[in-house]
Amino acid sequence: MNNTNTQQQPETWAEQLLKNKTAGELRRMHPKIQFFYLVSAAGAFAASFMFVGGVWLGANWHPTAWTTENWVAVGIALLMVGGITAGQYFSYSTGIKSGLMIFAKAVVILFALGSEISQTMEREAETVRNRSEQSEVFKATVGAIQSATNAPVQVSPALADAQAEAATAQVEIDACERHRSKGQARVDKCLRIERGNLAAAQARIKAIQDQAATTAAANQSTALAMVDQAKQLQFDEKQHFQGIQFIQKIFGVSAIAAAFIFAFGIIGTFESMFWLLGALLGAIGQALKAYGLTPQGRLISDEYKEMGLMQDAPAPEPKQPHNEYAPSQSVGFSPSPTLAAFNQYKQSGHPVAAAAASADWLAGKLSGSPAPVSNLTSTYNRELAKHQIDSPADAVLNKTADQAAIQRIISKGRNAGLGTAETQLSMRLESGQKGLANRQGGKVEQQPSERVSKGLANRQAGLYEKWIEAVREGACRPAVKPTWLWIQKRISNKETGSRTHDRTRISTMQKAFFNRAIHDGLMQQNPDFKRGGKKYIWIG
Amino acid sequence: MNTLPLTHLLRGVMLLMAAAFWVAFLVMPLVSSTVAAYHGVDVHGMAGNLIYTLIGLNYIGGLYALHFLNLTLPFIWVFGWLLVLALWY
Repeated sequence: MNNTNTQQQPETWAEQLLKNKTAGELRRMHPKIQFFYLVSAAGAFAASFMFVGGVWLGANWHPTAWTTENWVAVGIALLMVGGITAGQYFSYSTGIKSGLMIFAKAVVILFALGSEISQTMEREAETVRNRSEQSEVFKATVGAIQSATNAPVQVSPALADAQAEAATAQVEIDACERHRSKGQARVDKCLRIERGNLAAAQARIKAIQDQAATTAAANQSTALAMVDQAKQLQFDEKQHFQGIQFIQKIFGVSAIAAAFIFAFGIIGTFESMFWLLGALLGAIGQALKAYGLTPQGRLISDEYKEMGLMQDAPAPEPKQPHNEYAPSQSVGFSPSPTLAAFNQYKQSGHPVAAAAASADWLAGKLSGSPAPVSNLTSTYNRELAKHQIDSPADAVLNKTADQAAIQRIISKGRNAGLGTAETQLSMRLESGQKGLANRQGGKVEQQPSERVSKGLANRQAGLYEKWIEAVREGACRPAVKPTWLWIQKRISNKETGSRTHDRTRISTMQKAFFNRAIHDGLMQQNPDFKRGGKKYIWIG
Repeated sequence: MNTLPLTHLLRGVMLLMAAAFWVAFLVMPLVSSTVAAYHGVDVHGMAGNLIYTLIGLNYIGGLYALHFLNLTLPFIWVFGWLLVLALWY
């Protein structure tokens, strides 16, 4: 499935899915994509929560040690991250493209990217720290520091000898009086000798102590240097993942910048896939809606019934006296239960709902039976015959299937190459005429187009007459653009230009008005029409 | 994008390989860390492992969606990042 229009991806995907996949394939695909989408949301939540919680808890991830304040912080983080993740989950799959929605998406994406990238970088840093602390070099350095700081204090033998000599000299000085009997000169001699010995011993002690102090200072410097080295080795940038080192080398950036680029790749891819799954889920939902099904595989018309917007069985449709085209396939123009649903839904102001309701109704009209379609069974041959389409002699066409499903397939086949529900409406109006004319050798011209157009025109009871009146009074020119704007003012007067949600419906109504006016003899196509000139002439 | 059957087959094989990588490199560490933490709950470690297991599963889902959409180049890009994630993890 090619996607060339990147600005309208969800719609483009829905169109392509409608063209290339059957309702069954889409129905089977939906729960699988939804599973992965939920997993993505869980992953996004966990990653963001780990980061926010980690910051608020100061990396204290031990619940048994949490204080009340910690528990409150965790609770707030859960609510905050849960809200952001829910915002991502619901906004990706909506398909709404308003400015506010784009802003909301940008906010949640930026938050998610920031927190998840930070979480990934934190994890990488933790891995590097663990690897570094397990390295042999780091262990050896720590061991050396421990050896240096825990070494037992040893007294130097030389110091002990000197201290002993000093003590002996002091004792001898005190004992010099013993020589008093030999005269003062002998005492003085003793004192002189022993004081000399004491001084010598004290000088040696000081020298040894000075040397020890110098050695200790040198050891301390070495130990401090080793601590610094250990700090560096505790977070060794060479322990980064090889991919990060590769980025670092290739781009010539710092390790942390390389880690950021790496984390951006991991998380950017994750967030892209999260968005892709959401957008695809939305596109599958849109495509299923065009098949008249909900994502759960139920008929949308059944949901309408449950909501009280539609009756169980369609009311009989009286033939219109002025309509000579209607009887062949019971395509009536009177109000039907589906129309009532369409009108009620339209009044709800929800453009998607209104488009879906109108798609449902028109699909029913084009397939020859009003929606909601019944659950009766039929064969392909029988249904093709009902639509006056020649079918080949193939046994497969004799198989029985749900009548509604066959009608949808026929309707889809008539309009092969169409897109979303709203696109189908307008294109059916334009291509239905050619398709049927081709199939019937050009015998019937304008029938499907007029049936539908007249139906639409009649269903806008009153508005068509008001338009006729406006044209007659000169308030509206009988041309495409003025009529389009005239209708827009009456059904979507608050919206202008490209911001109008109901553009296709307005175009459909304009075509329906013109077709009915032509049929009523009020208007005709200009036989001398040239590009830039008047295409229609008012004759009423 | 290329829609040749060969490309389709190749993407299918790569999808299976991606699933195998996911189990081997992302699920197994989660299981082993959970078992290892049996006697003392390591919330941080287990949650960390869970995150990347879920991110890996997101990649698998993305690959499946891209395969469904026949987008081959983004498929190869995501497959490459799945390998990087598995090896890094």
